[in-house]
Amino acid sequence: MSAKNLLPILTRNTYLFAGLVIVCFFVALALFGLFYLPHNPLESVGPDYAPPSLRYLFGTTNIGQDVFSQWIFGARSTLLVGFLSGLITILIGLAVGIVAGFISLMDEPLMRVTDIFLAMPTLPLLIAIAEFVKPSIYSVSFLIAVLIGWPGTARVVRSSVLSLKTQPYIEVAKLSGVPSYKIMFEDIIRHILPLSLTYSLFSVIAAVLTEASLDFIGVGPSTDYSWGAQIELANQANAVLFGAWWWFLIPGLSIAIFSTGIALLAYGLESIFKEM
Amino acid sequence: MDVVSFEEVYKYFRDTTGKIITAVDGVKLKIKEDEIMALVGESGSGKTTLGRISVGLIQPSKGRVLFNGKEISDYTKKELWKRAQYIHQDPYSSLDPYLTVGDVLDRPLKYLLGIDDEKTRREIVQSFLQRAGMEHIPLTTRINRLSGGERQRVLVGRAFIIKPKFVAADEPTSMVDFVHRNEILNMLFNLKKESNSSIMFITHDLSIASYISNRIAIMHKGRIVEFGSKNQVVDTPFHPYTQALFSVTPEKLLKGSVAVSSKLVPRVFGLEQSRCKYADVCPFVFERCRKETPVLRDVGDGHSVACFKY
Amino acid sequence: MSQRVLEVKNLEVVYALSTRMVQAVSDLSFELLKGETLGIMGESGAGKSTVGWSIMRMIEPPHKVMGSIVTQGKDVLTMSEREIAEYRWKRVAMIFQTAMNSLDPVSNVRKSFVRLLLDKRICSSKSEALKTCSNLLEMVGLSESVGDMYPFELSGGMKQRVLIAMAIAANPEILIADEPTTALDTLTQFSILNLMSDLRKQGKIGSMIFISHDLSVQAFMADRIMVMLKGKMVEFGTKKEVFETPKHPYTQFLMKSLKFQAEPIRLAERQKQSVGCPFAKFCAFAMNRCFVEFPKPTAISETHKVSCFLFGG
Repeated sequence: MSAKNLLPILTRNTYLFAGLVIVCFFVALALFGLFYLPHNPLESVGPDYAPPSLRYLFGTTNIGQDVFSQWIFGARSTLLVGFLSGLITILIGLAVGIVAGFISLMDEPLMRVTDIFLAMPTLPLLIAIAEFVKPSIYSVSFLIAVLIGWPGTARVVRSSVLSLKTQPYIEVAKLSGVPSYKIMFEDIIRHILPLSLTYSLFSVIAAVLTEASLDFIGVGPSTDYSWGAQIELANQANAVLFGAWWWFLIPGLSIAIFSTGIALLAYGLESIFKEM
Repeated sequence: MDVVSFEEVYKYFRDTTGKIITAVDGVKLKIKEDEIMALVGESGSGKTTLGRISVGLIQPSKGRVLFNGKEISDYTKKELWKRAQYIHQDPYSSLDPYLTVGDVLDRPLKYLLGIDDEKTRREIVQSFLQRAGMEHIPLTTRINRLSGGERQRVLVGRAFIIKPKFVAADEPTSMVDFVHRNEILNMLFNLKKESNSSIMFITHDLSIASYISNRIAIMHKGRIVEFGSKNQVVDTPFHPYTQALFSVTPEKLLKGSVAVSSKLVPRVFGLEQSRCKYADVCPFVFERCRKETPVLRDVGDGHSVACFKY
Repeated sequence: MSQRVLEVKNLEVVYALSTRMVQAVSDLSFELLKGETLGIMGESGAGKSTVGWSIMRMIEPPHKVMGSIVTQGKDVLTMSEREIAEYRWKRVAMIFQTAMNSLDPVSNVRKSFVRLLLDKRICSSKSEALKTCSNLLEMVGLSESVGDMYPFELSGGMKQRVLIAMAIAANPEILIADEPTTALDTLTQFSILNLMSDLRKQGKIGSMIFISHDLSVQAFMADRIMVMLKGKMVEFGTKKEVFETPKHPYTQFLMKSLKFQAEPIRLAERQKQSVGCPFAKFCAFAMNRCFVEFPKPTAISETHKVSCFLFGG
């Protein structure tokens, strides 16, 4: 896979390309916000409930904050939750899935634990925990991954490993004396990483949506002004009644478009990996 | 001393419908030091199963397998595979496409022989490639870039690089085209000579068996029906099944011996269950064959047959 | 002078894969005579099956098929849909390499047969179809009770006999058999081959194109043999000529390999070569020209031709 063949592959697959464009756009937006924001997103800088104008591209909130600045600022938190949660999800999912798939003795116990997590009403549990603990962006990412994210990935990884295990080349590795842990975490991982990575992108979407849900209920880390938090604030202030559609529509659409971008990316990657 | 000895080995499997299948049905066989024993049989004869049992990849249901006089189950996996190796049949599914040639050859040295120094291992691999006739394949080539013939060479090399005493090779040339077949056979010969190994060469092709082996064992439905030195079996095959196999070798066909082959060719239906598994299609069948199972009896000079004709 | 049943001229087949184009067959010309078995021999990747599929006109766009395949005055490659329907299975039938799985698993043999006979209008009523089915089963050495069996109950040899029966149902002029016995035991293999040979002698099969990489099987079945290598014809002649006096270095190599007498091959440098002779990099007689062009066939005798610069071309 040299850099030369990369570009044609990227452009040939429209899903992949579209997804990549969207995701990169939002990542760039969040990074951009680290260095420059048109106005301080938390300060009242303008008139209340001002509709979008040249000065305030996305209008203002009920206390005169610039929605555009908030949008850029909020991208950071939302994306952070998504990616951090996705990362923890895949780490746990891979570990559990590979061990369960490869070591038959561990399969039953690990799968029962996975089943418990899948069967548990994790969202209410999460809400309850969040109410007590008042989590930050980081801890909520962790909680989402642990309670909601990993079981699905673990299952998918496990079934891949189960079928891979029967491949003769795994037997050849054993015949060559390669210790099991190396076979699991070097050889097998190499084969399942692409597809597992793709699958875990969906947990990114789940994380973003879950965080937004938590915010909306009021137990989320709203002080970090993620897009979900912004929707919650807008809702609390009854923005609908005031006709201030710009306040909640912008973050809401952003969540939707970003999630779609991740999904497109996942589908695109999947078809590429299938070809390989 | 015998390198590998099968003592009344049986292996049963359950198929998808739950029925019990006897893959290996009472095999008694000894493989001597420094010899090539060809195990000849059709698909379903149990030869692959026997091959896998010989290196401890499968455990027999009944009976013992001895390696160098000690029961296989008494060895640790590492101890066993340092001395007994296996070559898979399909060069496409037996090699991890993401590994390099160097990786595949390096691993047995590192993990079975315990050679920790990377440089030493690399030197051994380099010199091995020279002797094995693979110098033209760079070590950094990924497996998925190799052709079938090249892959098969890597597979064979992987088994021999640790100089094992015994190698079970499962149809190493059946998935390779003619152009590479002879190279693989030569490679096997040379590597065997170098490490003084014994080889159990599993094949369905009697002409290859006749070409490379010292002794031949013919397997049919899980039993050894005939075995002896190559010359004994090739010149005077006794068992009707062996005779039938010989009637359809390329040499015979080139001479156009249609008459011979159609006479010895089995009927399509064999619905009765006889004790001798070949009885259903055997042209020489007696009543006895349906009631008793013949055992291997020596008919002279180490040539044994399992057949009531003798 | 035997009648020509099929005439292939300058056949070219290119497969369009997602990442590249693959030339499967290049400039292939040959003819099939009435009542003969023509063996197409070569190793995997030689393009043998492709030739069979082309004759059945089963290769569709985006893949490209060029040249002409003429039978009864009409070019198969330009026939209309209606003509093809009359042509396929009535004039030409094929037994595929992966035939083992081509029987409908949820119908018993008789049902599959009747369906075929009625669909192809070989029979016009169910009762006629049932009778024909029984006849065909008997012809291939299967008992009547096989008709009630389902594919999973049949052994490999029995399945193959059913497929042969289906292929000859319409008494085709041409039967194309693509590695029909490769997956079977040696002994079963030859009982099937005996059957096919007998059917041809009885006239139930007109002419046959027999595709196989197995030299001994070709020695048994074929009257004339076409040796192919990487999509090109390297030698063509009677069975005797090809087996006893092979002219092309590749054919000679094959024959010697059969007896384990082949000289060790000069190890090829790992280059891909798409023009010229595919055997050049292994050939002891290779000239510079061989790497650049592929020779045209030269006639050695009335029946024997070679594509090799050693003989002209």
